[in-house]
Amino acid sequence: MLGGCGEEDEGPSAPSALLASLAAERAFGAAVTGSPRIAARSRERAQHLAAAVSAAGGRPHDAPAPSEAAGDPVELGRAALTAHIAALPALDRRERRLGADLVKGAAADVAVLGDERGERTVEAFPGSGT
Amino acid sequence: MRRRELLVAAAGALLVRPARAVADDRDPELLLELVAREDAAALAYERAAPEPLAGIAAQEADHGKALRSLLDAYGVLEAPPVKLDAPARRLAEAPDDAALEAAIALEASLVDAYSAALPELVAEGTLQTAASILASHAQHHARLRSLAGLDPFG
Repeated sequence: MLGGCGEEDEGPSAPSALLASLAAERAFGAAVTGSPRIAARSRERAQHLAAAVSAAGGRPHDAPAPSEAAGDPVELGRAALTAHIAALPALDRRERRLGADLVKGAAADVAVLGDERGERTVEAFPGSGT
Repeated sequence: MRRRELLVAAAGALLVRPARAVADDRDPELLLELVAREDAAALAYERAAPEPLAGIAAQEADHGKALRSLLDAYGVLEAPPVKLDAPARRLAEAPDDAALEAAIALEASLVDAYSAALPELVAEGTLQTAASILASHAQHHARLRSLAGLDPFG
């Protein structure tokens, strides 16, 4: 992204962006205590993210899983989706394929969790912060 | 301005951040393809009324508007006329008892289109807007499958 004065802001590195995604995904997975299948899907995404962090030269343990569930699962799912979208510009083409899978998976999980709670969670621009 | 219009404007505004254009930037070409898909989807949902999900046609139209605002930043001020592609035509022409299945297939094809575009897009705002729209279609797909009594993650 270019800054307002014409200088280029390099943004986060790939390991840093992936770590932020991993932390958000682990927080979501820890909070989804009432939906074992969605929790398992989140764990699988976290495993893929941890492997990508390692491959990019980072340390997955820098984004530890919470020791206990904390927070609203739907909101944490939205936060994970936002983190996955925010990470994309820092990623190379191969990593972005993983990024697309993370976005799809987290978005679907939020929709299904919302359904279970009778909430309207199908949005035009989820994860965009709008 | 209504809330939905504000959301579309905000999503499009992601692109207002200056694009990191490079010589082989295919963003405008890819955006035109995605606009055509969104326009076709919106038209198909309108023709296949009633909507399987409330507001889904408007969401597809909002996607098209956001993509158009991205194209504006590249100086591409006109998109091709709306034309039904194969998945959209299937929905538009589906009898009532086949509309839900056709909508699921349409959303799956849109998820595939955006998934294929993400590794190719260059500009940060374009990439993130496309990713958010991918998320929207993934949600549509899951909700529609649930409505049909199918595994939402299938």
